[in-house]
Amino acid sequence: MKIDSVTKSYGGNKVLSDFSAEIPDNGVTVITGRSGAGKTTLTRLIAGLEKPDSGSIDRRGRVSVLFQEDRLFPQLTARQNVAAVAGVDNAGKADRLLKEVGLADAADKFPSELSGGMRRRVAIARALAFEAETYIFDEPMKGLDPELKKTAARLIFSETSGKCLIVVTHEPEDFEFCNPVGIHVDGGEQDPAASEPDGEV
Amino acid sequence: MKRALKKICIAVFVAAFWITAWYLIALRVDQELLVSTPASVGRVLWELVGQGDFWGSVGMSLLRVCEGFAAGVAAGTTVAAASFLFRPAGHLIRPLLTVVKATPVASFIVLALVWIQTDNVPVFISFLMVVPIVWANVLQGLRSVPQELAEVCRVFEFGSLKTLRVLYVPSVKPYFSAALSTSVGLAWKAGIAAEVLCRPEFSIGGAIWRAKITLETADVFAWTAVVVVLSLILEELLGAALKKWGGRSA
Repeated sequence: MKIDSVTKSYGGNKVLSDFSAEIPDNGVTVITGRSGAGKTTLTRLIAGLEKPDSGSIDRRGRVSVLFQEDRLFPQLTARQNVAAVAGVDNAGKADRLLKEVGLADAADKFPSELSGGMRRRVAIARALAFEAETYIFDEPMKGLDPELKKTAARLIFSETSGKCLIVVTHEPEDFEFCNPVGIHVDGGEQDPAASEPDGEV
Repeated sequence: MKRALKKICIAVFVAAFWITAWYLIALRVDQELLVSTPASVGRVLWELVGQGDFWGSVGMSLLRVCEGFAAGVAAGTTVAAASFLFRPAGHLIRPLLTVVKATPVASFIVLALVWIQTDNVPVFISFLMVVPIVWANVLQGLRSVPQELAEVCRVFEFGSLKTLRVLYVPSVKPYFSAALSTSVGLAWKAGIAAEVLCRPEFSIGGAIWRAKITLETADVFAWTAVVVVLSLILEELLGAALKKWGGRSA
């Protein structure tokens, strides 16, 4: 995926300025940067939820997104939330993914009946249930304890194997085990050293 | 069980209190022509329920109001959806519905008598009462749909029907239910008022009008009691249906 000289402003506030990067179609990319540096904006542009003011993004296929907020449908159970994106011919996938994130017993509960960490895991399962070529995970470990973080990171990595996985995080060490490409975003100024595919973020 | 019994006791006490108050007023006025006693109204009611015409009038009045109500709900929802999807349509329709809301129902009944067949006037009036309420509530519901969930539907490529089922229907449901609860009583009262003025065959309103011109005050009271009881039954039935529908479901 090629991001070419992308600029994005909101009401005169330039969030990304002439930002360029290459993201491998097959592998893990970790995007880091301080709060407000434009990481989420970048992922929204990649997902096609917004258009850049200038520049272009050469994106391939469908994109699945785990938003920074859980964004679960409140009137659907955990299972229904995941199954809604899995497709009719993939009904078993929702149950399998919920089991993988340790929520098999809570599958029939509504989001309001789940803790923050449980809701996050449902959202992770939902993002993984969608068949896509690119997976964007924005702060996937938010609200998870260290043990769950490990399990979730390994599940995300294995489920998206052979696809493009983009993780936005303040804690890049969670994904160090999968030797990611690192991209540092800082208001549009890309750190040249960080874009090298050496696992350093 | 204990709670239900307490509720019944309170209801009986309240009813007894007001019937006693009514009885005392009737005694004080001491003119059946002005205020009938509860006993004479009860007698008339007892006679009425034994007559086939009574049930015919009740059935036909209910049918007319339900027709107008259903048509009003359908039209109000459609216009709200159109106003939401096409802003210019919303701008065009707003003043019209504001005028309908502000105009006295009697004016519309008189105008409708000129415009349409007598039998259809109560249907039309009930319809008119419902449309602005349903329109305003459903439009507010549509505007309150969480945009972050709309984005989820876009990302996961939900089609129109799935987006409607998963996002729009649940978001609009509370507003829609509130509109139905508010408008059913209004449609019923306005429909009966229209019947009083246009007097279609087999109608509660027509019976009230006939009782009035023959100075049968007890009959007016009895028919009014029928209107009140039916209004309560309609509201209860609708409330129960909405409660059932309001349960969480996909």
